[in-house]
Amino acid sequence: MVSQDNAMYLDPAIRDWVLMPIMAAMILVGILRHFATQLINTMPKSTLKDIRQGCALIRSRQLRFTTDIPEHAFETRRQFLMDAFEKNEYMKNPDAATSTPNPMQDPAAMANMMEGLKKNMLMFVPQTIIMNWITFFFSGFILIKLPFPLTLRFKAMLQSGIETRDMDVTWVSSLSWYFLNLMGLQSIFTIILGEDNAAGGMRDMQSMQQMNPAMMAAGAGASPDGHALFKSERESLAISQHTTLRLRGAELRVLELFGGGAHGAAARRLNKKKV
Amino acid sequence: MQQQPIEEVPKYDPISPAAMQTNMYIILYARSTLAATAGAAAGILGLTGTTGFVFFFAASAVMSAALVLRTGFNPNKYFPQNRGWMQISTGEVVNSLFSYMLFWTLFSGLVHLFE
Repeated sequence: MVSQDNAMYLDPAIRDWVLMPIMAAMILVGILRHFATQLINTMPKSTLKDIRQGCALIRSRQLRFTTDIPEHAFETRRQFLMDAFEKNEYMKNPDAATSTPNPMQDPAAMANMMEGLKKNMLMFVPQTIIMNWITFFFSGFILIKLPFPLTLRFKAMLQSGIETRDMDVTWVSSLSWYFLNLMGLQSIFTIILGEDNAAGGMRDMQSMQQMNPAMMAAGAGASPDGHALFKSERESLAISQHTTLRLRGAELRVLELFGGGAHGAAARRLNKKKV
Repeated sequence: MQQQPIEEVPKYDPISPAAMQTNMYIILYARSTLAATAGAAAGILGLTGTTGFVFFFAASAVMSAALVLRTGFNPNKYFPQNRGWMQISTGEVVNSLFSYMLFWTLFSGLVHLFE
């Protein structure tokens, strides 16, 4: 169909020496990037005290959200944690000043920033190299025809290096094939490498844009300050209340689960009594 | 079963994050595979223009139906906060559109363009 309405054919050599190599190179670079990222990724270094501080916070948070325990148990735990937070028992360094330390002097923060930098490098360096490779070697001829229409505005971008005014926009040069690959190969990487692959593509850029403000904030020294965290956690604990919201009506649910319709009447009776 | 006898019971969402992650991955995988294969099919068939996009969304709808069938018509069981239907029918569709376009272009080029 394509070949009927516009009788233009391309040299098979273009397919063999440009179309396929670009795609193969991009897939291979993606796989390489995935494994290089795994190699570079180091576990964040943390001391025992760091972990203890984090775990105390997690414990308190769990207590606030999971209150499926008897009320006196909840109350005891709440009091204990509040006291502990008050006395800075779980602090990494209880004697430290409340002022936020300079992130440049904190080795942990520095390591974090280096991590981000390394990831950025792995993202941008290969893509820049491939793009330059393509524009240097494969510009100035038509590579493929897109099966979907585009507006004329794309002409300058997609037919870079081809100075014809009348050619249809759907005939595009190698740089557009590169962009198409860049955006479309994600699913291939998902199939080859699994879910959390670091092979690149659009998903990575999206996540990076979302991550960056958070990373900046962390780098600016807001996060490692235990005092503020403990203080806010203590306040949340103070106002948290014991509820058995999720346990309420559990027996009815069990009856329903096992009895089905036969115990519907019993369940309803129980329900009435409860209300 | 059909008629909920108890109204006051608050909704309890017993979904483990790890299991949900797996479910999300299953959707992602299914959509990725669909994008590649549907793109190849569209390219070989020689679809152009709007027809191709219609083909893609039709294929996605079929995939949604298959996924719903797989969950036993109860997607909310597998995703939190009653987002099951939403997640199953629309999750990853837009992302897979790019992959579809890539394979569509590739195969229509390979089959119809080079002589």
